[in-house]
Amino acid sequence: MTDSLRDRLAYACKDVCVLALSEDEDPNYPYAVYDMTSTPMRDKDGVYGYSGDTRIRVVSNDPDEADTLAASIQSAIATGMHDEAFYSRQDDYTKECISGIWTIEMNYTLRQYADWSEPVETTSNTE
Amino acid sequence: MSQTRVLGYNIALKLGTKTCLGRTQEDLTVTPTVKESITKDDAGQKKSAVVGQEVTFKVSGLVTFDDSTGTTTTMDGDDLMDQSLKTGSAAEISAQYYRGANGAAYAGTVIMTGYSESSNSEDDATYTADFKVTGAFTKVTQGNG
Repeated sequence: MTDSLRDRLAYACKDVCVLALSEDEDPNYPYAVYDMTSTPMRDKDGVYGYSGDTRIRVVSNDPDEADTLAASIQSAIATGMHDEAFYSRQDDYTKECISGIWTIEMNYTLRQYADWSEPVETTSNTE
Repeated sequence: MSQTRVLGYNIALKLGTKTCLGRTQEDLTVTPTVKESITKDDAGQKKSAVVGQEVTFKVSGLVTFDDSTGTTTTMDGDDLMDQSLKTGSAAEISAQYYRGANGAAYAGTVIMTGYSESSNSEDDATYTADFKVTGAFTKVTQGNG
């Protein structure tokens, strides 16, 4: 089995925002970035899944904008990462403001139980 | 002469023709049955004799179900639950204990003496099954040792 937690997380949030790794912080507000540490889950027959401790940070200079984006990400993960192959659980939520910059931090436990790859979008040439 | 370590996943308990699915741990315990005696002929020294052994297994794993029905190689959650509810001679099941490619295998008849499942709201469901060997537990294949 291949670890697809990061790809699935980005795919689940693709209609909300570009959820990038923390190294790719965007200077334009609002933005959202994440860090993830994933570890394989094993039984005696081998790796049966992956578990990822994930921290998502939403940053904005507008508190309402930060709330809206964080809520959209929460909803996207709740619906997009909860099926037979993936499991998501939000562990906490913190919000703070430093020098007028609002940061919402959400920690998740994400799990993967089956192989997954991003669906290939087909384009029609009927026009 | 080199010694080969045995990785834990190479040790398995097979019940009938199937190993347990989603197993994370198997524990074997052999407890000698000791008879102690003291007579005047022992001159005050208590004597102990091993007259048999009690062999028990504990298997822990993830509760899983086969996608296809009728698998012939692994016991899933339904198989284990069914086994736990059997009575009389139907509750007896042949068991083989494998100890890696270089180790010997041992066999006997076991009964399930306990079965429990644990399922909370956040983690994978797990089970624990306890087995006890009834009668002899004998070596069936010779290891390299």
